[in-house]
Amino acid sequence: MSELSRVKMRCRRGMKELDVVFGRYLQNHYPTAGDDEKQYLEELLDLQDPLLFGMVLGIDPVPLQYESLIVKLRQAHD
Amino acid sequence: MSEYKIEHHTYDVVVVGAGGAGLRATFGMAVKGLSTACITKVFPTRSHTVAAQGGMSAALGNMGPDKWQWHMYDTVKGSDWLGDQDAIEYMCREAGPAVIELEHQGVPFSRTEEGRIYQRPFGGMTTEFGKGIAHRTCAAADRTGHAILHTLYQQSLRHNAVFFIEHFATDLIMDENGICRGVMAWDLANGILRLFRAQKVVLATGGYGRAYFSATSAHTCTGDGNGMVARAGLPLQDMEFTQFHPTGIYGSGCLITEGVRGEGGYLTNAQGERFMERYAPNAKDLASRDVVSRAMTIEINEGRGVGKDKDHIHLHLEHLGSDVIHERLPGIAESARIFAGVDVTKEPIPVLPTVHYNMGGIPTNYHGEVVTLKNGEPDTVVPGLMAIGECACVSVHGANRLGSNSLLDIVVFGRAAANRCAETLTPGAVQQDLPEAGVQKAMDRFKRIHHADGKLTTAQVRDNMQRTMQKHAAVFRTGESMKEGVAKMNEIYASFNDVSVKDRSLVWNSDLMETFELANLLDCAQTSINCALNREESRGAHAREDFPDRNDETWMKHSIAWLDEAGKVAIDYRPVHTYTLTDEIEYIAPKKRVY
Ligand SMILES: Cc1cc2nc3c(=O)[nH]c(=O)nc-3n(C[C@H](O)[C@H](O)[C@H](O)COP(=O)(O)OP(=O)(O)OC[C@H]3O[C@@H](n4cnc5c(N)ncnc54)[C@H](O)[C@@H]3O)c2cc1C
Repeated sequence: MSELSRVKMRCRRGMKELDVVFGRYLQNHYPTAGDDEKQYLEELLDLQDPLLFGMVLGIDPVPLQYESLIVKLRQAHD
Repeated sequence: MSEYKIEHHTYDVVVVGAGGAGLRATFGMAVKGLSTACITKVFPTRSHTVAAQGGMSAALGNMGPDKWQWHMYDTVKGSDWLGDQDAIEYMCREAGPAVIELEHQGVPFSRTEEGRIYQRPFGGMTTEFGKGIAHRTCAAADRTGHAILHTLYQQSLRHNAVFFIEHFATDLIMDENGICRGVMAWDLANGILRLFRAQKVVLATGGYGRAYFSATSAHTCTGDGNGMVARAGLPLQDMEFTQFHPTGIYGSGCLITEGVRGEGGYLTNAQGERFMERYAPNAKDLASRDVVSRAMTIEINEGRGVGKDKDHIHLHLEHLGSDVIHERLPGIAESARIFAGVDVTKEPIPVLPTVHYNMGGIPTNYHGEVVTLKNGEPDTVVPGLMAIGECACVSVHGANRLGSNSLLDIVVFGRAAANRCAETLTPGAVQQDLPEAGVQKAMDRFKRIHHADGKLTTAQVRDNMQRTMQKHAAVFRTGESMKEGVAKMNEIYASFNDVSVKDRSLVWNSDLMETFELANLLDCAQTSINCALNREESRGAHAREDFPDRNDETWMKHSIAWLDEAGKVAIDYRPVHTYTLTDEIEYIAPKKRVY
């Protein structure tokens, strides 16, 4: 099993917006992500979609440790 | 020795899908004492229903007079008279009880100051048969879909339904008499193939937006149930009807909800003109989706699109002011910033009609039982098989669905399916062994795709299909362009035989799963474009430049399409149900559809 393949499946969400955000992140940032970031990603992926989307949109508060990852997710669409 | 580890399971009912439709059915079956399993490829609350923010319609009359008969009239008119009126009556009648039931189960609907469920206006929803604007759509803030999923999942667990999460259903198991006897699923986490035996299999697998290049729906919307049904030798119905949402963000396809126009947002062309006033003098920007999408496309085709390439339209909410935007439309401002780079308090959002909903699907009656045309009888029930939700075609949406009628559809018919099973099944009844030939067929196909060793990647074939559908089967359709599209789709369909799966693992193999999904998408795309070419009229979401009018004499009928293994499509018809369930409302006769 490739690790990337498992993460890819977990990044399939219920909302197109999150598919876009995570899809671009996997392409642009995941290959160079460190262990910490990968761990935070796993934790984020455990969250419910509306909360996750709320964090990406900046409506829901973002816990400190996730901030830099969320910033990357927000840019992921460019 | 097989290379696969196989496990057997037996339940009274197996539901495939844990979106709103699947969960409502699962919960309902479990409550009635049927042993119930629910198989889902994603975690239940990550089903696409989570994306539904706008709300759910029901003529509660909390904000002014309303009646289910008015709701029915709107739905029939919205469907451009292709909807079955017995099913529409059932849905609109059951809407009130369905909302109240959800509220009691725990869905936190937003309230008015007096403490009643708040209801907002939505496109196509009127009072007094088209005279006024109805406030009919109930919402749980902007998280209606999630609230419904969360509540129904908890309720299902409470009543001991068993969940097989991250399991991908590949094929139905049919016997030699055409009875559905079970379903096969692949456990994504450990590679086990599970053979489920059931008195009833209920498909609730959602839509197939991903057949197109630009869609508002999640990547998981791949029409898997439709593909399973087509492979079982059964027809798909009204596949030519694809709804485009007028306001997908230009570029990414992400949705700007219709609620924006409900709260006063409006569209303009390159001249800054509010052009909807010309196309729908009464409803204007709140006209039904197909009307708005077509108007936008006409504006663009006639050179009045905005932007460098004059290829999209502007959606304004600047005039609403920052307070109203943030209070009534939370998330819209941020979404526009992230996905379009726009500040909505200062500038309009660039938007374009984007694939949003599939009206067609697996034909059923209003109990959720799958039906087919057999020996001249168009309502022949397929024993052992049900379909509900977006994968089904009941048909309540006919040629065009009204916004907020889909959450209603999934809840009402999820419940109807459970009630039907409670009436017709005996809990724990002894079941025969699964038919060997049926199991073998499903196993052989799994093996063939698992070991696919051609020259094309899954992504290549999918991309070809998506671009072809986008170019040849979008908002405006002509025979000439669709013929070209059909020829291309024939080639693309055949090219699946030359696909390759790189990764042979059976554990978290996303490549293999996407290849199974691609096969299902191809079935949907192929039936869709062939039925679109075949239907020589314009009705609802199906708008043909070469046949601009609705033709009730010839075409007031459902298309049903069978696919053979080579991808050849055979088309026949089922009559539209032109009768109602009770004498509390008469059949609503066809009229010209103007807003
Ligand atoms: C952006 C957006 C917003 C919307 N907003 C609204 C709204 O406000 N109001 C409204 O009425 N409608 C709305 N709709 C439409 C509505 O959300 C959908 O039609 C509805 O949620 C479909 O529900 P469902 O239960 O049929 O399917 P889904 O919610 O799509 O669920 C499908 C389920 O099937 C499972 N599944 C699929 N294939 C397989 C397989 N092979 N094996 C195992 N499991 C499988 C999935 O895991 C999932 O659990 C919206 C649609 C979009 C795209």
